[in-house]
Amino acid sequence: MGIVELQNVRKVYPLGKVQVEAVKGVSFSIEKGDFISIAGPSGSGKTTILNMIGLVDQPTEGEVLLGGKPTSKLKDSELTRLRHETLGFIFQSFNLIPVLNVWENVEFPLLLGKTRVGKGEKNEWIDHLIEEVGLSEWRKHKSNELSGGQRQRVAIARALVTRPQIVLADEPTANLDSATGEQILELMKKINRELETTFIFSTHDARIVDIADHIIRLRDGLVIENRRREEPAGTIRTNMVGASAGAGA
Amino acid sequence: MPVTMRMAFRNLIEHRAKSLIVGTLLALGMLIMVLGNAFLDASKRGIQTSFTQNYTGDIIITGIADGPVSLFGVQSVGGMEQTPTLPDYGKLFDHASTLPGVTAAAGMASGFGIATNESTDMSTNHEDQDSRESMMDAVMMLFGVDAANYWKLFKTIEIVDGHFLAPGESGVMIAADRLDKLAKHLKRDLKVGDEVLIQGINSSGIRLRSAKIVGTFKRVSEGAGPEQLTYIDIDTLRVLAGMTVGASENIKLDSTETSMLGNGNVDDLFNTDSFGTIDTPAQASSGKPLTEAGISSLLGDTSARERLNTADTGAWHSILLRLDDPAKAPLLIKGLNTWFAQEGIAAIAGDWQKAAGPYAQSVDVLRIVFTVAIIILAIVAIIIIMNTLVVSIIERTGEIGTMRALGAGRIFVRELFAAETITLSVVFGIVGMGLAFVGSAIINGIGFKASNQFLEILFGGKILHTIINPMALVGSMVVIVLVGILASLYPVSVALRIQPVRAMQS
Repeated sequence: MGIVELQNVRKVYPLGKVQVEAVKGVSFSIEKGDFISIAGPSGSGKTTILNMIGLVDQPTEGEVLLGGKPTSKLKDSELTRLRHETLGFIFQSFNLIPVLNVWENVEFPLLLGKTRVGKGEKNEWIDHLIEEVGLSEWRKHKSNELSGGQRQRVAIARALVTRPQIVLADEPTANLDSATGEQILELMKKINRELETTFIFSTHDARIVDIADHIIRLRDGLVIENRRREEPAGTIRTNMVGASAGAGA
Repeated sequence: MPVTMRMAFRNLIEHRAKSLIVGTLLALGMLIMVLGNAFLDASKRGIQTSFTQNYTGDIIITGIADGPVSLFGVQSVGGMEQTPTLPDYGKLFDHASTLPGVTAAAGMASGFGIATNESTDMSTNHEDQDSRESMMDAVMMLFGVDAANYWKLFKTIEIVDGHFLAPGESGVMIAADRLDKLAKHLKRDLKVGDEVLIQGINSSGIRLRSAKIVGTFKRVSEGAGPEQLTYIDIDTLRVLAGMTVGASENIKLDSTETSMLGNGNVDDLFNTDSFGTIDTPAQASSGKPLTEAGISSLLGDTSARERLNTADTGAWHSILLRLDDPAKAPLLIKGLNTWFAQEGIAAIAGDWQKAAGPYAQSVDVLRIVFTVAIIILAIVAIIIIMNTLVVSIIERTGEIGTMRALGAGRIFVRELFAAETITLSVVFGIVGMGLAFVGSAIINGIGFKASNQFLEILFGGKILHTIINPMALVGSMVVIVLVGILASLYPVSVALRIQPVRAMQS
């Protein structure tokens, strides 16, 4: 059983008077510790799928399972708790809280949950993460005093601070120059290896696809490729969720 | 410091412009509330001091009427004419004046009069401005006093010329600063020792009495009060106010007299031929026909009418009490009213506010008007603040969505905005308080003078004062925080509807 499973997931958005089917019945499974890329052109449905995995959006049909548990019937408060305890987010636009400095932004998720860790342990962990992302000298700076790459590093540290099983990254390199983008990818890969955190990217950055362990390609809301890196391009794995890897694929 | 408070402070600083708009409204609201209450408190305290020292004492005992009874009569359509006299005055006075804590007591009655000349044509047209002002100078608020006790109760009254009305003495005491105005109206010189003709108007008709000016007076403690107040001996007041033996005598007609009044044509009374035909009990008893000369003889005897027109020496409108400690008044009033009920006496005791009647109520009316104005201001402020906060929340949709995505529940979002609103309210509330203290100091420093009697009542004295009451400060702060919270309810509901997915869209 994968850490994430999508079972015949369909998502329809109302757009004015028209219904737009962004995801047309998708099924796949993601293993723990994967560094997975959900790739595809704009409008292919990759961000929609990431949102549904991240429990910030609900499928119109089908089921998203996290750790084997279905999520479609959970209440808002249960979804919030599950997000907080299981998931970390890295956003395309960094989404740091502007009034908090680097250290406080990283600390922020730890202040939200019901479980409290000791102050010393907490501070040590935050300091460690900030050091890991190379921002020790910037810890008292606010986000508007940082470069794009530095902001994304803060976002990575913030995503990891609750020790989540899964980190979701929506186009994490889209707003970065190529050199910075590569540094960020290396950092995430390093964390993936060291902490065995599952990273799920939505991207059309070829560099991410190149270093991913698991690649899922989408087009027009359908899976057109679903393979491990070592498998040949164009493979659609059918052993992930029953017999279906992607309706219509 | 909790993260919500930390973020609230920083958000307020980060969004300075909006914070200033909302904060200015809140500070202004606080300034108006504190200064307004300070003004009203000072006004009430001024009126209280002035009235308790000069007119009402600490407790008043009156008869019971349809409306509230004050020193100035009954506050009803009937006004002064319905002011009840105290039943069992002697018993009441003896009981009240000997109560522990009572240092002085005096009876009094009130009425209105107009100073006039015998030659004054009552039909004179008073429509021009000078005539109207002159007429106002002639109007007298008459306090008929128990001269043996009254001056002990009000030691703030000082004689300028002449002497205090003595027990049993007839006459009036006029305020020194009104003597010239009165003289001008009467078009003659007036001084102590001169006689003034006073016309009393009441339900039983118009009565004229001449009264000697025994003295002129001024007050040591100046303040709001009736400008036209004139002290007069109680018996003259009783006659002018219709408190006579005739008014209080319970006359009953027998059946013959009642039937006589019910019979006959009214026109026949004015028919000279009818004198020989009127069949009256008097005629029947004497056996003589009723002639014109006979009737003149009957009417010529005015002894009965004069007896009925003499003052009812037991008639008093109120008893005023001075206490060694005014704080004891509520307890004594309660005790007195219980005693009245036990004894079956139709009287009621009240505090200085009851005694001051419309003067004390003027502050209450002002406070109601002020409160309504504050409520309107608060509603306007709530709408403006609400709109500003909604705009602010829409601008922060991505931030709120991010917090929600990271695991912040709705309660956290609610707490965050509550912290922002309360911080804003408290900070700018304190700023408003500071401004109110400065404003109050400036007003008290300048010392605005009341230029007329209306302003004197409004100011509670000759000079505008403000007194900042700590309870008003606390109350105003509560109101400001409530305004902030109410104004944030809708914006917070907007914030709570923001889904975590908005973080991805920002």
